[in-house]
Amino acid sequence: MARVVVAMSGGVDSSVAAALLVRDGHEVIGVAMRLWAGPSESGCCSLDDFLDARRVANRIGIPFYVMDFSVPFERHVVRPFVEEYLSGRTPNPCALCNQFVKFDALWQRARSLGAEYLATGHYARVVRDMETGAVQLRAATYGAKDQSYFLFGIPCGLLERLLLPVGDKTKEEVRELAREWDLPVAEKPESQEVCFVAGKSYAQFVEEYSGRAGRAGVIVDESGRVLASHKGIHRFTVGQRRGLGIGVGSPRYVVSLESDTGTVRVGPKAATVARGLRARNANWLVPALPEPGQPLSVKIRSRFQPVPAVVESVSQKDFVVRAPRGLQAVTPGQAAVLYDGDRVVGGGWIDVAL
Amino acid sequence: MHDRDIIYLDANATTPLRSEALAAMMPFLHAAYGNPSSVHRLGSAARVAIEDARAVVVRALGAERSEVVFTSGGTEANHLALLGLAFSRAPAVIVTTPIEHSSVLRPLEFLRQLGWEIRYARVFADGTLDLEQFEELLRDDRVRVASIGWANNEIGTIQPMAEISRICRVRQVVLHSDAVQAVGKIPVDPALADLLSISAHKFGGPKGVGCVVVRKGVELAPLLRGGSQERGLRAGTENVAGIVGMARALALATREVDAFVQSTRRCRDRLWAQLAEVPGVRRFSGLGDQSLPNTLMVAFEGVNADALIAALDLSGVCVSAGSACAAGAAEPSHVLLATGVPADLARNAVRFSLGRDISEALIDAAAERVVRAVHRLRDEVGQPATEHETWLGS
Repeated sequence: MARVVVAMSGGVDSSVAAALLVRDGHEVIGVAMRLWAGPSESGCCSLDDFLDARRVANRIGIPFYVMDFSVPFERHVVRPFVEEYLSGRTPNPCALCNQFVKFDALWQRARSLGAEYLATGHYARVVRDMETGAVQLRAATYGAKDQSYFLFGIPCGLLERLLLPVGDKTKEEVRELAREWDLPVAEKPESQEVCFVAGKSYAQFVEEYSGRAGRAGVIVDESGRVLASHKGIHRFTVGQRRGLGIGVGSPRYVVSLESDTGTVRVGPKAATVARGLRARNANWLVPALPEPGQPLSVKIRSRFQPVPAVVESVSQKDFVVRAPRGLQAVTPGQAAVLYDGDRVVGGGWIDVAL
Repeated sequence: MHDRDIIYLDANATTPLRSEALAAMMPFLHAAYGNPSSVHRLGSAARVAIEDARAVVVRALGAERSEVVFTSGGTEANHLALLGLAFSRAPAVIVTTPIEHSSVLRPLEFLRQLGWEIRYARVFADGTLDLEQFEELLRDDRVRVASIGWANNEIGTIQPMAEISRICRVRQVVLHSDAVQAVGKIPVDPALADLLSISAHKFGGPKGVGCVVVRKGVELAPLLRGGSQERGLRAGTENVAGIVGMARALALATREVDAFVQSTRRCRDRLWAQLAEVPGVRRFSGLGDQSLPNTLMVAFEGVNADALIAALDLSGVCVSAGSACAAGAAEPSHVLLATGVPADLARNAVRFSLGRDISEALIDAAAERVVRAVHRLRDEVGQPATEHETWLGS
């Protein structure tokens, strides 16, 4: 039994996570993070979600506080999100938020409230290796909902202070528990959008927030032939097929984005397959760095089945992996997360496709 | 945590209903359920209860019966006063201050859309109105209305209402004062203002009831139209129990106001004496006669208000930040920002506001928990997590 701060979003997963901790006899404190004071009234900072979280907390009998984290959130998530799009990359705000806000600012806040553990409603598992005693981050028991990808940036030292109570459950089991315990969010639909851009297109948000657009330019094919012009590079992402405005002939996909010239390169699907990638600002969740030549698997965006990959070079800060079978649409700005089986070895931010 | 272990230091937010008020209300929540507008005996009993209550309010405040208009609380009182004045006049200029309660500031912003001009008089760093500049502003004949809160809910500043009243009378400017935080806490002379807003739950009455004292001869348009209740100024079946409870609580609070001032001031000063020992503490409220005796707003450097409020709540001490968003997260108070406090420091501000049941023993216990919480929060935050620079452009 320990004092645990649980991050509550008002959704069913974190609600059930909190309830499971209470059931297990912990002294639980619910905290909802106010992340974005911007104009959006929907998304994860909607009033209804905070009220739902408060109702759940009341239902399970724990103290509950809404706390403002909008300053670190804007600095580490919103501003990078916008700058990444403007420079022709495709950011992953949820992973950024976990790394820099939840597992940093919130964890600090939790410790200051005397908490020994931080809990979230993510589908992933923290497992203690019985032989070495080392704590490992592993994928959720049921792969369909696995969110371990988003957690690769957690500081290694915090891993043993992290509780993920729903990581061994299916979504249906979680909903069933919510119903059984009469939590008022049992039937609540899932939110899929990036919270602070709710109701807008990403491009629209980027333009409104920054007051400018990514560099305009042309769309060219593999031979360099100009197919069309476009209004800003922030409207594109690697692997994109729709909305290119070049609707003739065989399907074409975005292969790469050049922010300094505003050039969008397109090609057939095969052209989007890379042999590997380089990632920077790595975070490792293993006691020793992986060895060059070590076979692992890599996941390069959230909806992506990990594929076999071999580590080519590795340091504390960056790594290069090769995927013998190729990687579809390696997208700079996304996270590349390395797995050894279902264990998260570490990850980094994709710098370039190789 | 048992309820008896709770130390409630949030009296400017609300106060517990006094048992005398509850007892007075009970019949009208149950057996005496008549509509005051009905002519039969049940209606008549309710009508009499309201008029008795009005007489009590009038006696407690020193006004006339026709001058009291019951409302659903302080916010409605401010709306009836400000919008009611505006709707009965041609658009002109209203003077107010930037530290008013949002239930004054927001309706004034709304009036701006209707063609009124809103000018903000300067306040000094302690929140006191700059009388010289105020007088200067009122030299413009287009200024027809002034709205100056009697006492500030956050930093507790009491305005020099006698001076303000004199300046307004000379200039024939209608003066409204939001006295929600003053009535019951300090002696208030309603004759100094043309319109006065009052809320019952700030002095031991129930929530959902208040009143405006409208000086005779001040023209006001109703916001709620329909029945002829409250002389046509506020249609709608009266909140009989609420009005009765408010009157009872007001009679008690005004009778006991000197004792309230003495006991809360003694305890407030005692609290400050202990908090002042903490390094890096900043006090925003005054301690003299020009401040509410029960209010102490402070900030501890490096200690975020969200964190301190949660830590104190976990130890059973209930306090507030200056402002909170709709969801409940602390926000930098507009009052502090308007008095020149930097936003970073304003984010740390917490308000202790003492009620009539405060005691030195409770204050000592609270102060000890505050000091402990501040040290603990600083210890944790003092070991900074790695300073992350975002990696963009690196």
